[in-house]
Amino acid sequence: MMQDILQKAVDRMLSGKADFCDVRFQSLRRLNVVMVDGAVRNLTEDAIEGVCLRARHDGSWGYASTNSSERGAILEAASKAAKNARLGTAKGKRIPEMRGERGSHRARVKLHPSKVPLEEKLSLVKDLDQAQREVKSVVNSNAAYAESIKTTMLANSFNAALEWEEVRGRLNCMSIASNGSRTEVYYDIEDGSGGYEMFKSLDTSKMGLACAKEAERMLSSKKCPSGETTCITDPMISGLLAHEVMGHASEADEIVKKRSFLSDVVGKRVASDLVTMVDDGTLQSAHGYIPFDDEGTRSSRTVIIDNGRYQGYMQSLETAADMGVKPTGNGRAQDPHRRVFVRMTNTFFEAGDWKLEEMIEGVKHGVLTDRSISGMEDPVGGGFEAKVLRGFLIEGGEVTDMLRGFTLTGKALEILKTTDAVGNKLELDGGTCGKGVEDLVPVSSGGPHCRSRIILGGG
Amino acid sequence: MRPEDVASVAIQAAKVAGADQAEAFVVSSRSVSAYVDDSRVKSVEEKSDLGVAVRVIVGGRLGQASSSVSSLQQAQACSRTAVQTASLIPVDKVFKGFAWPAKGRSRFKANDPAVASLTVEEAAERLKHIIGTAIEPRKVKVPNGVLRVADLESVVANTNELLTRREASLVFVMLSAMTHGTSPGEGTEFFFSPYLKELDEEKLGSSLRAKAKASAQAKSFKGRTKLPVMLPPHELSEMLQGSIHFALSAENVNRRRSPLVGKLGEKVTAKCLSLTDDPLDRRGMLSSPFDDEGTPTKRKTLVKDGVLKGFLYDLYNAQLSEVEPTGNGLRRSTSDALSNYQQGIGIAPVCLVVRPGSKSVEDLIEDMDHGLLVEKTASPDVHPITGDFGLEVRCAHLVEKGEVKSTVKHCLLSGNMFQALNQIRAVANDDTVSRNLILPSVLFEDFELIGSE
Repeated sequence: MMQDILQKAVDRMLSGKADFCDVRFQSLRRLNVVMVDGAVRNLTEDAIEGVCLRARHDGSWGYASTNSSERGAILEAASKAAKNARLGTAKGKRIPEMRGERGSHRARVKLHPSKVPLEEKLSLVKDLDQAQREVKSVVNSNAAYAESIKTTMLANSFNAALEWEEVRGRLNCMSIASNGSRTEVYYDIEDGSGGYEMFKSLDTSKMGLACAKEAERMLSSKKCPSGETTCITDPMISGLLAHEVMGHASEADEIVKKRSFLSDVVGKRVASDLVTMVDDGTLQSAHGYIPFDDEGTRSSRTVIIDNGRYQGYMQSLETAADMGVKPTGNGRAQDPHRRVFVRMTNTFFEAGDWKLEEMIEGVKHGVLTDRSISGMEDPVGGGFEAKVLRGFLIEGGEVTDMLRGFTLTGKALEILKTTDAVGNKLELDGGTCGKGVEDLVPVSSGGPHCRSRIILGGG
Repeated sequence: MRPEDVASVAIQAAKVAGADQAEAFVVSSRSVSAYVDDSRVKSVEEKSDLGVAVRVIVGGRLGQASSSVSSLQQAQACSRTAVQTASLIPVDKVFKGFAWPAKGRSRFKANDPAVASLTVEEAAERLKHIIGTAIEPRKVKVPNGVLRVADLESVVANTNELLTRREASLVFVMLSAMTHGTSPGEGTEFFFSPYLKELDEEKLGSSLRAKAKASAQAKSFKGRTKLPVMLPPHELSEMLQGSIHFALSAENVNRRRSPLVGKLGEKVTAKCLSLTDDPLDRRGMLSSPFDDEGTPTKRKTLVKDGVLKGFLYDLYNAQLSEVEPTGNGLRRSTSDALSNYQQGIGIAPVCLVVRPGSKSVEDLIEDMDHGLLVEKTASPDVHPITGDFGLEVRCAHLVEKGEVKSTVKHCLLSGNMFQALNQIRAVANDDTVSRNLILPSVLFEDFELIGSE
């Protein structure tokens, strides 16, 4: 029934002079449970439903959206989208005709979150919160569980008629410790795509207690040295470099308009030959997994850097048309009210063959990072900025003092050219990515430990 | 559907489902956005949204749910979900009830009818005007950005027979401009206002072009130094949101994670700094006489001449602290009207006003013997608990003897925001609306600048 209405909306946009158009009906159901200091602070269920209509005319897009699933409202929005497309002034190549995907795809989960009683989820969060409070210096304990179930129904002018489901979960804790004069914070997260099974085998008491103990240990951390130094980035910080700088600059919409420092580097050496980097939307357990992107293109694995040499970009339907290549399944949108453009999925450096101990042994004076606070993209300048939760000093090949939070910076290409050791263990960290200041989509980023020369300061 | 009707239906449904008390926050909006891509208007959008957030108390248990609304049945279903969630959680020992109606509140409006009537065609034209001013053939282009206007109406209603209404508008522009060439520079510009007439396309476009050109002149900074630093409003507003906003929130005070715990009445900033939350300042993006729990807002002095005078409370934290709420329980946004009902109640200033100084930015630069004038950092984040920051500088000007001598990038600006607020050399008079603040540029004493060796 809804597919019929979506098809009618496609017809309406085509009759409104769209040269390509699509329509997606999306439903997003989320559950959030937050415990603070031993009490449930927030238990919320959210439901969003809406229809996004998108029409292309020459190189410009017209959008309209509505919360209504009524035929009349959707067709009216379709007319608006087609009209809005003619207001733009952008030019672009026509999206080549291709066979639209069809079919219905349920998420591959062992234990669907909708089948798990809420009481069990509350108990999970309670254990995680309570364990933190066993550490005396913890003045504030926080534990949270979040799940999201997103279903998309999509039709387009290439005869696509698709329906699929994405299921994600996330459990995190954060401990604040204080000794009266200093306050420090530590956190831990488990997340991914999949069902509730990802939390079934988790020892939440152990996770909460370990988090609290680390927050307490941080009360005696020291200020980090500043300046350029040898830095072993942990998987989270390696992931920030992959995602924020190399990843955003490899999104083809930035390439088409030459806003990326990686605009003309295909085939060129951009990093040491130890460095391989990919975006892979097909990793089924990773937080950024998508069976299809929000244009109905099947997700794929895109090799961006292969042994130091630059390979290619992430593409949407439009950028692939502009560049004369195949779409890679990276056209994504936050929800039915937001636009589609090129976005990452799971972006990471591939593992090498170094053990962490060997990497540390080779450092006379340097720093080992541990966990991120945030990072920021710079597709134009290629600058890297990563705010690090904490780190460790390395002296004479051994880890010595713990360091409180600091910031890493430098030019990404200069950092990657100095990378002389890449660890043998890959880890991914889930989260959401906003391009600019909005349009959040679930992603993951990561890598192994990587050893490079980086500027650090702050803290 | 009128928001009042949705709220009324939701509350009734909550009562039928067993709620002792219920509150509905309903927001209806129309947004028009025009996006630029490579100096062309790329996408034009018109979006309508209606949604509800319901909170209920059932036997002392607090349940919540939110939903987009296309029919009254969805609002009713949302209420039933809230009641169901409440039944599963322990009794909340803190939260006793929702807001009561306030008497004698004037009907305050900070919305612009011109926003409500702006067509998609007019929005696209305004964006074209900015682009046209900013670009210079073969020299400067506008790679991306958005111009957005939104008109929204929200209501809060509850079983205490409270009904408050907020009619608001927002005009938000965020654009970047960059120079052509092998080593391009990029500048960004923001605009926040409830009023369309405040948007000066020529001024915005010219500023964008100038920032892109300045950034193109920037060279990597080498070595390290300590120097006075001037932070402009749009950078400083994010840094204050990440530090003083966090510290002034009663939620963080009650959780003992605010560095201002126990410092009421003490000196916490330099004497030249005064901070006031003024919810009836008509320039503010979020200004209104009620917050999103229906509590009346009021003008509050938070820091006066450097001394901490008060904190910001929502209903929950006011009840926890056994004080009156200050009207700072918010769900609203300064840049987007979509899906505000999905935001949980959070504590924030409605309109934080930093008292401007008497001197212009230009005068302060002239008086500067040696210093740094920041234009853009990668992301002006501050660690909210410790106040530490390290910001990657994308474009900043080194000043010597009152004149800009060079422009730098690829270096780290490092310091601690809570210490910096005690070491303010001067506050300028260029007060600017930025997010939920109105603030001028501020000149701080020594920050550390670290470049490559």
